[in-house]
Amino acid sequence: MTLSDWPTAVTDRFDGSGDTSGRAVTATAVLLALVLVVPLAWLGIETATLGEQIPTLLTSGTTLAVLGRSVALVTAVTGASVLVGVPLAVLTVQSNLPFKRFWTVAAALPLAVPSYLGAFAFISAFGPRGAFADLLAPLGVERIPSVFGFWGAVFVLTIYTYPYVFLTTRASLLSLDASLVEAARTLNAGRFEAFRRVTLPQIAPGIAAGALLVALYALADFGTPAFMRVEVFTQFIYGRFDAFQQGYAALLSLQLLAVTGVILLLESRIGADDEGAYESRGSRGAFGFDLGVFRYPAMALPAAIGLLAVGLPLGIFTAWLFRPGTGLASEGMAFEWSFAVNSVQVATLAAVGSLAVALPIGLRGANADSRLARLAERAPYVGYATPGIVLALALLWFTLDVAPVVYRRYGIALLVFAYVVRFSSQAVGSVRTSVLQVDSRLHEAARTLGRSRLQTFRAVTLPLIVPGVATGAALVFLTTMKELPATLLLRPLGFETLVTHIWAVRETGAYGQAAVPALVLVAISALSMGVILHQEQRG
Amino acid sequence: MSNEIQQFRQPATDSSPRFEQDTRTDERQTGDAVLRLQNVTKRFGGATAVSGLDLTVRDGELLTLLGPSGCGKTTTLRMIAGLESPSEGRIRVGDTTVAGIDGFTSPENRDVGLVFQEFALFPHLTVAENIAFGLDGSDTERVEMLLDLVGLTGYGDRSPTDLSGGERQRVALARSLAPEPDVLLLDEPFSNLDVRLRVEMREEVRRILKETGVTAVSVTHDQEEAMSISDRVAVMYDGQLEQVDTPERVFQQPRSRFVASFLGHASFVSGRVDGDTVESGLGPISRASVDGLATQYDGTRVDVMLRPDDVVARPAREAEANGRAVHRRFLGPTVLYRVELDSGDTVGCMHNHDTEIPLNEPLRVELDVGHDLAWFPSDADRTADSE
Repeated sequence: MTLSDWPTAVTDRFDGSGDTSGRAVTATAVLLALVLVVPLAWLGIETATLGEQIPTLLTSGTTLAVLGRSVALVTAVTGASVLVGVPLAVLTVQSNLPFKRFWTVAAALPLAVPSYLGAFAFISAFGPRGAFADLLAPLGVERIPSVFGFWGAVFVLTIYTYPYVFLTTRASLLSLDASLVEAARTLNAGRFEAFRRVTLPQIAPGIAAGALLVALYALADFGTPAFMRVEVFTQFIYGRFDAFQQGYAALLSLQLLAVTGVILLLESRIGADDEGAYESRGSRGAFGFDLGVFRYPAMALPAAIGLLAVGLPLGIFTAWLFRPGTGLASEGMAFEWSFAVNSVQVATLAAVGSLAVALPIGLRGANADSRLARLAERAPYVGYATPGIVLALALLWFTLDVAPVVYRRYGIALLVFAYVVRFSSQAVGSVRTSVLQVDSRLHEAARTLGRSRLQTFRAVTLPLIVPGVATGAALVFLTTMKELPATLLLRPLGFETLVTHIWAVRETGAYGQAAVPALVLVAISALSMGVILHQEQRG
Repeated sequence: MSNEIQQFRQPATDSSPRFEQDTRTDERQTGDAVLRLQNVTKRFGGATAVSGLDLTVRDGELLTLLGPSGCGKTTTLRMIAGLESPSEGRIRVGDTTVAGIDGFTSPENRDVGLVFQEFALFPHLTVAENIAFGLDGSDTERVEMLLDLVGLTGYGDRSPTDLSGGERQRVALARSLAPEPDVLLLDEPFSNLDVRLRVEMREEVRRILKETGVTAVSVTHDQEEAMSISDRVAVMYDGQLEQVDTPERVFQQPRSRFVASFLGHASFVSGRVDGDTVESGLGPISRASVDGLATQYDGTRVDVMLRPDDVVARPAREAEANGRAVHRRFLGPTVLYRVELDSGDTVGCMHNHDTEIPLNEPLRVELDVGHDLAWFPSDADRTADSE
């Protein structure tokens, strides 16, 4: 799903454009949208407390260094993801690579490992005194290059985010009209010239969509830079917050939001393409790209990436499982199953809450004559695009200023609300998709067969959208399970979940205690990836 | 020729050739061969799509491959374009072998253009850029000339999005003509247009092709389209060529029952060759009006092919009646009756819409033809071959 998938030409399925029930739904949607977005305004209020310091802080060497490092990280990760993702997509769609289906899944699999867990595995394997260093020590190698820092982060983020580019490029390649390439060939363009002049311009929007997802992810990711010790926006903001520099943290948050906004703007510029444009609709599908003698060697590329991105963490975590708690502070750090129960509890609440938001918005549909309704529909996506740390801080300050009792006594509610703000767009998306897939003629048929509007909804629409609604809830549940920054900042005191436990383990170095939660989270992520793939196949 | 055809081949005789026209030289057939397919076969896995195809297309000619879907016509076209390679056989363009045992020339290196069924215009390029795609550099003069040729002067800066179906077709045609191909291929060129536009574009495409003098091979399943635009029609069935001839001849002198039925409504009346006549359910048919019926068929049974306009029916007394109408299909200007003859044969019979023929009443059905009739030996799908 790209952020430009906001349906723009959705007709109102329940023809309630003018009637009161329609207006009531719009009002609900608008209200929800406001509730979701208003806390972000508190960042501005917090920043304002800095007063005259703002220009100085904005132009200070530290701020500029963080900005520069963040932009560099995003650029490097995005560029590297394109370099890895596009060739893999071409390889698995257009070439005669053996076992293409297998390699397609293998190349998408890194999505099933949260990148901060990947980072954890990497520093454990390649860090000082890590598994790799232990292996090399007998060979007389005493120092290996440090995996920490900028390039380590670029590497880890790339191998876990390139699948976005891979998948969107694949989708474009699969929907590419093969006769366009054939037309180029009959017009005397060779294989590579045809790729450059016809295929590439056609799949460019797909590549761009994937690249921008990567960019947003790299910019907003909290865990990976923390594990790799790179001071980018998310880390630096967390540091200022920890040092009680609220105003500075708020200022940086706004700056991060601004950079996010720029990326989204780029995305919408590229995404705002051909609504209703001429589309060539000849034979679809693969145009043979003969790899020749490289047919079998080419398998090494997806194999290497799959092993590195998925095999390595699984191996490391499994090894921890059998070699837990090596001394040190492993005592107070023992894993308890109550952490998992806590995770499941908040994730379930988040899923239910997201459905409460998604059903009115998703069912309403964007009404062409109501800009308000369309805006309301987009509100959840603002939450989705807001980096977790920024949202968490905004919510924290908002509640502390407006209703401190909420933070003190209903901490779980606040946490769940944060999840809903961040992830309800996933539920909106899948409810919306399933509503759109209900052929409006079915609705009309039921009406002409004598059912009332409500009866039609119950007898026809509802049964058809139930799978989509369930998928949306499942996605929110699974994403919430692995969320890190908001959980870290907003959880009530003493409330431990799988991710906060992993975070604590990282700080103490008793890695073995992270084995179970890490493996559970990988399984959860794999499950959510399965849900997404299943959903895409149905669509 | 395939075995299937051979088994129906009649022993050669020293009598006069049965098909006079086979030896007649047509002025159209004297041009140089630009495209030659020799024993071309294409297999996909175990299935044979095209089998032992021999075909020659001459300079400036417009030949149409006609057949039902799945007959192998599009595969043949794609093999000529170089988008598929033949499993066997040889394809020559001009004096160059582009596919055969000694190699395969890729599509970009053979001078063959292709107009796609869905036009396949590049959506990211303008009309002029589409047309210039196959040219080295952007030859504005040539692009302008081609736009003039296809009647789209001033359309160069538009996007394919802004064009109607007919205009897209014109751009596709201009684009394929731009690199001056030796052979231009057209894959179901009119199937994407609505019915009215289709008739108009047939005329227009033929005009453009003739104006440029390009050699063209088109593919269609629409017999009306094939007959109206082509110099010659090659009818294909089940991966094989059934007949290659002028539109008039494939219609009037089909070489197989398949060709007869595919090119329009055809009925078969069985009869016995008896001296100067063929005795049939329609009464005696003069042997002279049956096309080249050789003496060796004396005394045998043959099926004479009739088009719906070859017979007339009128109400008659029981005594002189020889059939009755059992079905009536109104087609607008004309009405097609299905008439069951007393002999057991069924014939289609076309009447003007204001001539009313009663159903299930005695009718007198008679021949009304000004041309020779085609016939088939009763036990065979095809006409006997005199070679």
